[in-house]
Amino acid sequence: MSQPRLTYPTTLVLYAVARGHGYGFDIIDATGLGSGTVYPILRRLEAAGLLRGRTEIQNEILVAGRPLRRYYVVTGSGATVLRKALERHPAAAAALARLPVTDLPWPGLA
Amino acid sequence: MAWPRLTRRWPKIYSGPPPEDPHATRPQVPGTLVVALAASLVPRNERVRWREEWWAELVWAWGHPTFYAGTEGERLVHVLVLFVRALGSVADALEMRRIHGGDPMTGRLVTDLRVAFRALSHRRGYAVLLALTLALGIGATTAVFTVVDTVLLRPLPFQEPERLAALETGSQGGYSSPYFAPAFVEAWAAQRDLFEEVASYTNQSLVLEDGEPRDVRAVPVSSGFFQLFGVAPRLGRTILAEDIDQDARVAVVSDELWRSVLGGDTRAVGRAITLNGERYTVIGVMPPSFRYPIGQVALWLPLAHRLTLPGADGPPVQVGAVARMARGITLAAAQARADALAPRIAVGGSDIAGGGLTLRALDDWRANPDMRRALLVLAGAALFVLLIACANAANLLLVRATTSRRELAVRMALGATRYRLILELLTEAGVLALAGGAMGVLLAFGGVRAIIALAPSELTRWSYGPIEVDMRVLGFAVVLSFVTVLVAGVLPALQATAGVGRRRGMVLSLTTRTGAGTREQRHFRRALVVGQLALSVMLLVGAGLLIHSFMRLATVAPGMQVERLALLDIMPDPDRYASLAERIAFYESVTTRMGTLPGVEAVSVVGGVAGSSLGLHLDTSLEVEGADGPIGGDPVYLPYGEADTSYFHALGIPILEGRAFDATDIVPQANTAIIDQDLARHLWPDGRAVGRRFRVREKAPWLTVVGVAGDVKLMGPDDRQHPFEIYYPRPFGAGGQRTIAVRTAGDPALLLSLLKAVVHQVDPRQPVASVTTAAAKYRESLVRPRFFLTLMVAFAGAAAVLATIGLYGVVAYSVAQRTRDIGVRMALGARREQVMTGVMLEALALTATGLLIGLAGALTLGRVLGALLFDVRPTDPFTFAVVMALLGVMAVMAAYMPAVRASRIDPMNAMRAE
Repeated sequence: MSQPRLTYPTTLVLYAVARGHGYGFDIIDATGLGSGTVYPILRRLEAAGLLRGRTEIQNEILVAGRPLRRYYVVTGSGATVLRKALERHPAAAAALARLPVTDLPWPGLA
Repeated sequence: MAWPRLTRRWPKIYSGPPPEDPHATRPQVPGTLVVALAASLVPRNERVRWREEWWAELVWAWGHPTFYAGTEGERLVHVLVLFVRALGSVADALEMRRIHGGDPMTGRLVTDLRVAFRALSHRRGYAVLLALTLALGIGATTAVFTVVDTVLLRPLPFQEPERLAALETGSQGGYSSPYFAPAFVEAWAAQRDLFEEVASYTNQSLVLEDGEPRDVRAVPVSSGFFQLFGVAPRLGRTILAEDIDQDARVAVVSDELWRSVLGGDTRAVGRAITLNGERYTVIGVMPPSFRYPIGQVALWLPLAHRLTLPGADGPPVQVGAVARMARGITLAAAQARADALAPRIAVGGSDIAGGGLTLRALDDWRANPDMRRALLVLAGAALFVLLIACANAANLLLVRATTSRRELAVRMALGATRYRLILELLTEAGVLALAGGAMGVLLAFGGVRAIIALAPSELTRWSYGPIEVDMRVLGFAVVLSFVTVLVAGVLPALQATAGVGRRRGMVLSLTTRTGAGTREQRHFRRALVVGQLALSVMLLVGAGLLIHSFMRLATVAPGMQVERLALLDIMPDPDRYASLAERIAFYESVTTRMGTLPGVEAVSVVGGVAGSSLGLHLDTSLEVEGADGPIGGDPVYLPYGEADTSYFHALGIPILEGRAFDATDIVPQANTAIIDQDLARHLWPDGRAVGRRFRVREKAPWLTVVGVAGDVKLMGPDDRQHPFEIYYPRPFGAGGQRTIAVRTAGDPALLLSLLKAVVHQVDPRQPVASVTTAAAKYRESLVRPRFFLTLMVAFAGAAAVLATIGLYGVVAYSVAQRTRDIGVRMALGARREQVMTGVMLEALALTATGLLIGLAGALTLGRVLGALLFDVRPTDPFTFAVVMALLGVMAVMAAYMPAVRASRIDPMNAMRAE
């Protein structure tokens, strides 16, 4: 898979994941982008190996009767690309700087 | 985090075990349907995981605690946000397909979408107009459909509702009673081949003493009641046989009571509530959709011990009954069987029951015939608006397709296939449909709220379950918008590309500069506009008739002085005021105290004031003394009021002949009555009524008329069904509800809380059912006609606006296309006025055609409205004249701008442009 173009929204999404916003709607809330923008970017980043998605492990007590959520983390090559991307779009860093870094780990994540 | 229930709209119905895998079924959360549909675009091997991810996000967001903590407005916003987010799944699905190697179809779809968006962004006015038109049609239809669906159509929220039947006594003289002696129900319940289960219930008005005391409707039920409906409680359990055997003080509460009194607490089961001074334990909470008997039931109690409660002089206890018919037997077959069995069921039933039994489908209770008719007319009106919107959309799409004919021809000449071009035009229409549909859904949400706010309370009271937009109706809206586009978009697309492919057609299209379209297309567009105008004429006539009728209704005099009159409805607690003496003491204490308040002129204990009679004599056969038999043509329902000596004075009802009641009448043996003028004329057409005697049915005691009162609208301003009134001198009656009427010197609204406080001074545990002014109460009876009128006017207005836009579009387009012709004619000497007149005449000709068709339609459809009109005939010439004038104004408005534009065409420019 070729490298996705490092546009401003792509940078925002990658950076949001790096800051611990681990799942789709959280990334949408953090970046302020629409769901129709964020998800396709996530797919491209995952396909390019910059993100890794994991479906949470079935935890009967926590998630009884609920579909399983998918969490994303930045891979090593993702971190390298993010550094380059933030140099190109310093505004992306500023946009997310006011949000707190989410604590890891997420419930049920392997 | 406590996990909230996901199925919030429908009760859990016992129909087999729950599905094995909870993930296999779609969660009931906004937007999951969109995701389920979009999932079909995702490559198969990725589909389940992809869908799961989206559903999980939606379910998490839906179940977030802030959602339940918020106000209703915030929750609505939350639902909309979820829905909009779910729409993003379509883009995501397309991306998944691109990455994971879908077929080239998607790529083409994406390209088409891109082309469509680009094309629309160049024609924003057109796109917005079209989307708004669709939104209006879809929103109106969806909102009304939601109401009609909930109130009239939706399957009852019970298990196998077609097997349920309400029992009534055998019909006698067109009237059957829904109440029986308990032994009678037991005898029928034993017919096991007919009924699988029969449950009985009664109605009680109890005082709930938690918080401010208030009257609540309690329904004591037999043990099989809830099992019979097959509806599980949302919390706890329902009433079991043991509760009845042990005479347990337990209660199953309604969703409404659970929220208002128990604060929606999920641990409410086991808490105690106080009813009529006794403590009851809450054992269960029913879902909001469970309402039986229909109406606002606050709680259900075990039946047995309540049967013994009514006072010694109360009426004998009778119970209502509902049955689940044996499997495989239809209602008609069950009725036939019941008729055959009736003579053998020999039990001393109620006085009206002759032993027979009538089975009634539960559907019958949903709405009274007037409401049913009104709703169906409204549904028809909404459908008209949708048709007009479709016609408008088709017209706009047609214009769009025609103007791009040249461009299409070029592209076909360059090798594009007709199929590709049609697909592109349809994609553009589809995008508009989606936008219009989304806006229509928003409009529908708002519309349903507006309808409920406007609607008479009976609309929500008589429906099984709350009225709200649900998935089914949303699906209906989505299908509707796409059907609209198929209807409105396919034809223009076919027409625009037809013939272009053939060599001659192609050359023609390329050389015809204006691309005016064929003669057929012009005719088609005109036909569409004429259709729109005709439909809006019908709606305008309907709305006009209703306005006229409402004006008549609103000016009807109530027959009494409703100004400066306060009314307090009171139902003395039957336990504590069981005897007549106790009730008289209570009322006297209250009225004496009220009489001493400053600003109070007179106080009266009454039953029956304008807008609400106390009771109805059913199935009367009026008879005057000395005649051979009953008078023919008697009313089936005869309303009566119960009056004390100051009734007529306090309420301001004139006594035309004779006298008002005095102390000599207020004794059981007096057998006197006061009747109104209409009844006096009905009974004795030849002359005086005072001093003469009559009775309401055979074997009833003879009543001496002591006075004739002025006509009062006891049942509301439209008293065509109930023109007569009788008053009995029975102020304190046999218990039951009474009204304390207080005539004041100034504004009665200022005294209301003071008057209520007086009742609570006398008895702190006695609730006051309602405190209002007579003027407000009388106005309430206008709520239903006003509701109906408002919606009709809204629809007619929308229709008129859409039709005007349609007319404007056609005329303006026709002027634009003929710029060159007009230029040539002006160069040859045509004057500006002539050009202007020509354009105006074109518009007027279309309008006149539409008007004629519409008037013919209105005359035909007017009969449907007939029953809803008051004192106005469906062929009311005044209304028709106003509508014709209105349409003339519409035509002039629509044609004026294009006509002016045509008259300002500069011949030189017009011809040079070629």
